[in-house]
Amino acid sequence: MAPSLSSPKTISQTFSLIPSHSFSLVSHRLPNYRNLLPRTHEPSLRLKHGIQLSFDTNSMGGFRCGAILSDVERERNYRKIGSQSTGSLSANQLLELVEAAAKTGAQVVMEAVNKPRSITYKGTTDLVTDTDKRSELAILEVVRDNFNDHLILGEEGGLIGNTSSDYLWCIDPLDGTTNFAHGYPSFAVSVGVLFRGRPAAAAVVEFVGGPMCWNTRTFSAATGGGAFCNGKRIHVSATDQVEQSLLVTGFGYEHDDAWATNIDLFKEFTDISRGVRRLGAAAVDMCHVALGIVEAYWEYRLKPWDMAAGVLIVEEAGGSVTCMDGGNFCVFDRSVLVSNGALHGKLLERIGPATEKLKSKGLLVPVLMLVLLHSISIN
Amino acid sequence: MAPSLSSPKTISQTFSLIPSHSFSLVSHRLPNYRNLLPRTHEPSLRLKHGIQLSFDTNSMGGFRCGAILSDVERERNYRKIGSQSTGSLSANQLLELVEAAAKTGAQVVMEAVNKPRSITYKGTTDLVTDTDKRSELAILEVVRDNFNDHLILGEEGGLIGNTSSDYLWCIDPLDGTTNFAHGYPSFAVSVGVLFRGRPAAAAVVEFVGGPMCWNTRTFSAATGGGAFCNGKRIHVSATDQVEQSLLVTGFGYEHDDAWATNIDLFKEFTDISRGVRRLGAAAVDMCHVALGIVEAYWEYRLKPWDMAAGVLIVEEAGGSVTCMDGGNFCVFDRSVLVSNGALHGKLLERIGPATEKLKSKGINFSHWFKPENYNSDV
Repeated sequence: MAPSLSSPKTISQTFSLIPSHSFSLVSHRLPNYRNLLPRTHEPSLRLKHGIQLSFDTNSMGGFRCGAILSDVERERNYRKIGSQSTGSLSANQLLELVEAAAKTGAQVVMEAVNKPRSITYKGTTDLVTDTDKRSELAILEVVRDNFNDHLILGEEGGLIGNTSSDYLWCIDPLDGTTNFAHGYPSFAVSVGVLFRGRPAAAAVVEFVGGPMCWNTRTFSAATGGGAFCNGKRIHVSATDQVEQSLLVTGFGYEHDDAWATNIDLFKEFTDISRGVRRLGAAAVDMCHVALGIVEAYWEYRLKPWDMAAGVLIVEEAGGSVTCMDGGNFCVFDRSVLVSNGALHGKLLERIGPATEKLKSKGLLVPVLMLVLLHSISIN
Repeated sequence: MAPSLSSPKTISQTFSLIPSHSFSLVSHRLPNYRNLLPRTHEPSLRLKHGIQLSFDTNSMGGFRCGAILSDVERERNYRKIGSQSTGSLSANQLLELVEAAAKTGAQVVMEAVNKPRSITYKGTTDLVTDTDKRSELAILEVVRDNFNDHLILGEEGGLIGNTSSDYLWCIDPLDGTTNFAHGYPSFAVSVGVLFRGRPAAAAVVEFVGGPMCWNTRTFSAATGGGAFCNGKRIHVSATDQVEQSLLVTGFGYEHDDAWATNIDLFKEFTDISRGVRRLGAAAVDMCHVALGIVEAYWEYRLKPWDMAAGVLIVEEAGGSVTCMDGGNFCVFDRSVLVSNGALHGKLLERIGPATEKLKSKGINFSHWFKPENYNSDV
């Protein structure tokens, strides 16, 4: 995908994709949001700020987002997912804010952690609690108090804000809601901010321990600045043999082909590794890879808010991030594999073919929820 | 199985079973331990203390252990696994000691938790570390300093002590060794003591949190006395719908029919519940059921030291314990299902048939690791 250096153009055509599953984005402030146009079949679509959407001719009926690449990046085994630049805001400014936002959400969760839960269902097994919602409101407040002209994508509240902003906040106010509902560690608050579609800063506050011994651990990273846990620099493990590795995966709420494929991968890897854990919170699992206590994590069909922070933390801890077919990753993709790097290729030897099989069935088309409209101010 | 009230008879025939996998018990003090005889085919065998072993005609080529049941017990859905009596030692005495022993082992683990690991392999993926061994030695010392005439079964050191003792200590010095090796919570020290083959007291020290935030949580129970965590009374959850339950299982180190069957159960339950977790430490998972943060846990082919403490803690927290085919459980069985009770039957609707299928293929579910001549009610 060649970089585009043309000056920004105003887009006359709104463009969005319908997620193929039943999740719907609730957005109250964008009346045009539901004006959905058929997916474009142009080989490429050039958008504002030099982002180019193009068909990846290797994928089967899908396409990938491409960001501007430098020559240095193309020489890496796996392309870096972190943003090269952070625009008018420094990486540190963004880092300070993701941390403040995540900690604010975490305060809400900590107060609730020993109280009874008020649970409703978004789907058959997809829970949401009051705490998810209150955590998100608290986080939104922090973000908008500081930057009220950014774009925000929250799990509970959907897409709000200024669609012409370079900055997109991806917020999971309570990752691992089922675990939280049961008082079963771990779960987390995850806040990431993208600059022009690529992770720029990230913070995850993980809830560890359990009843009678709750505690938190805070992971953070800014692009190019390394990854930290409770202020200490962290790094992925050096394990390069699958049979010495401890792996993690997850299974989501939809029980279909991708789910069944991953059950097979779970079985396959349980057979050849030291074990495959299944803990129930994506951001937590990614932070565990960054911390070096597990070697890799993969899952199909996570959402941007599940991944935006975790992937940056893994990369800044020295790990690798791709889609499950080995292709370049962005937070709008429908699969992710994060690892300590050393094992990435070996894992892909099995995960890749299984994923290609799913693609050949027409699944795993990336979801692009970039809704490009003329700027709309927030009430 | 009718209770037998005849006076005790001396048994002339030794009786033990060979574990079918490659794990070998190292026992330096019992020259007869390896004197293994074929499984008896007598329809029933009457042992010391009025215990009767008989064929359960519903099982396929196996048999079940039966203990003397009172009328009250028979009315329960699932037979209690905890010991009725604790003999000459009180339940509290035993409880104090299991706790002291477990905490001593936990100290060894805590000191090691932030240091590099020295790892060797017992099998292809079955790890053991220095810490396992040192923890076990520390625990053994505590037990034998207090009761040097008891029988002890430790994961690392095997069977040692006095086989005519009523008390059998089952020690897992580091349950969840793989997790420990990676610094991945949770793992635990598990110490249980049986009186005549049935759990009498139990303590599990769970390591929670992880790097930069390690902490411990201590679970304990004495038969008839309830279950506790950090001194507070705990109780299983009340969830009675599978679709509202959070479940846990494990897969062990042998990758064969039982393993494959459990992968299918994992898949099946992931589909109908809120999720199935796989954390990697049996004693921990059972304590989580007792704590009420998950609804059930099951696994094939755990060893006595994996289960002896956890099952009592679950039962004393109000939960149910059976084998995975629904039959009566003892720590020498090769499958276990612990739950909050309310869900037990519903889980068995799926777990039972899968297990029966394994039995019909000839998979061995007979007792193992049961010390020869041990005075057991089971």
